[in-house]
Amino acid sequence: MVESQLMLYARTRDPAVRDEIVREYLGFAHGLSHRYARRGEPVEDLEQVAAMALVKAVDRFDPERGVKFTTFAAPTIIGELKRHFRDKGWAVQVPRRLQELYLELGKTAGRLSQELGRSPTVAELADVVSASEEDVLEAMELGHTAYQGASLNQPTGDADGTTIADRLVAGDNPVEEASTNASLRSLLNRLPERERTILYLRYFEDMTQSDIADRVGLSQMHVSRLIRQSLTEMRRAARGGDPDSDDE
Amino acid sequence: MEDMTPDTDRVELVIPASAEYVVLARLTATGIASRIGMSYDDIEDLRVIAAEVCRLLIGDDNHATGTVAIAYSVNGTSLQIEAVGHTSPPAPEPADDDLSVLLLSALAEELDVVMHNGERRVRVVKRLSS
Repeated sequence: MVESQLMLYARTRDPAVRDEIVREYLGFAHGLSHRYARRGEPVEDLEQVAAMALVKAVDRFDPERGVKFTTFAAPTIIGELKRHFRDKGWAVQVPRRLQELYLELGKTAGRLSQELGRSPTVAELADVVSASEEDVLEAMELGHTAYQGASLNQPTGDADGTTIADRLVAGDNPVEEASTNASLRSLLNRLPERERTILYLRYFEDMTQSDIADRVGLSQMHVSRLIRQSLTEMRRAARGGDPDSDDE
Repeated sequence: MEDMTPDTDRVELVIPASAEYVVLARLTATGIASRIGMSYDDIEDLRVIAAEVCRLLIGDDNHATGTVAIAYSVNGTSLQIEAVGHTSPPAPEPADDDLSVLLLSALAEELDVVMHNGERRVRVVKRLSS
């Protein structure tokens, strides 16, 4: 009986008894680790974290309090699993991984479209990039939002917290302001035609970067970079500086 | 969709009672969570929460037929997920050391599991951690 073993261990602290209890609940701990598993993390590592947490839980468990051992141990084990991910910097790694996946998807989709003569399905993409369909969908979504968000409201890095939008045109409605702003138009005209088209689509047609990428046949990353560079150049030009000089 | 509280946003999703559709329950949960500014950790918790809620109603062996209706309600800084199973056979009543129940108890701030007679309902609330 595990309950009596738990009682015995609480009294004697005999390591042999503890081992028996741990063996008894190992399946439970592993089960939790599998259910809390995140992408790309080796299952054995998670099982080990859970097993160590289980040992801790056995040590701390007080049978006198009338709580079931599993009820007591689950939060400890889950907490350790979460700490494990946190220590490994998953909060940073996963978005980055998804961003990389997003970029990879763009390339893969292009290639697959040519091979298949049609746009690939998510299942096909997931298969080629060795990710789950959920990851692919999430990456698509993340890429979309991230790049959409990274446009007008991106900080310029100035101490006063102005954004690119503030810089591009000082007004509440950039599109409207910009279209009537002759000097902005003259700045736009200094840009190469491709960049001009991209900025036009972004700020005048209000298209997302991913739609622009599709339209002009570049990756979204590339479009994002071109927009950033163009805005920098325009800012310099607006301040009367030489667009080629590095006078930040 | 009418709701009693004017500042509650509600999203409803009905999925076939099948493991393959659980991903939709997860994506919807995390999508909403991200909208209300939940942190990365909270969202990871929600992925697990949404999956475990469905698992309780669909059952582990994935043999049930029917649907699971999931309502997501956002109220300021908390997200409530209430799911009702309309399945045959009805999901078994979980033991109190059922893994799903333990996970949900650990990860969510509120948990109700109502699984008797004809009723199969799970309600959880996850709050934005400060």
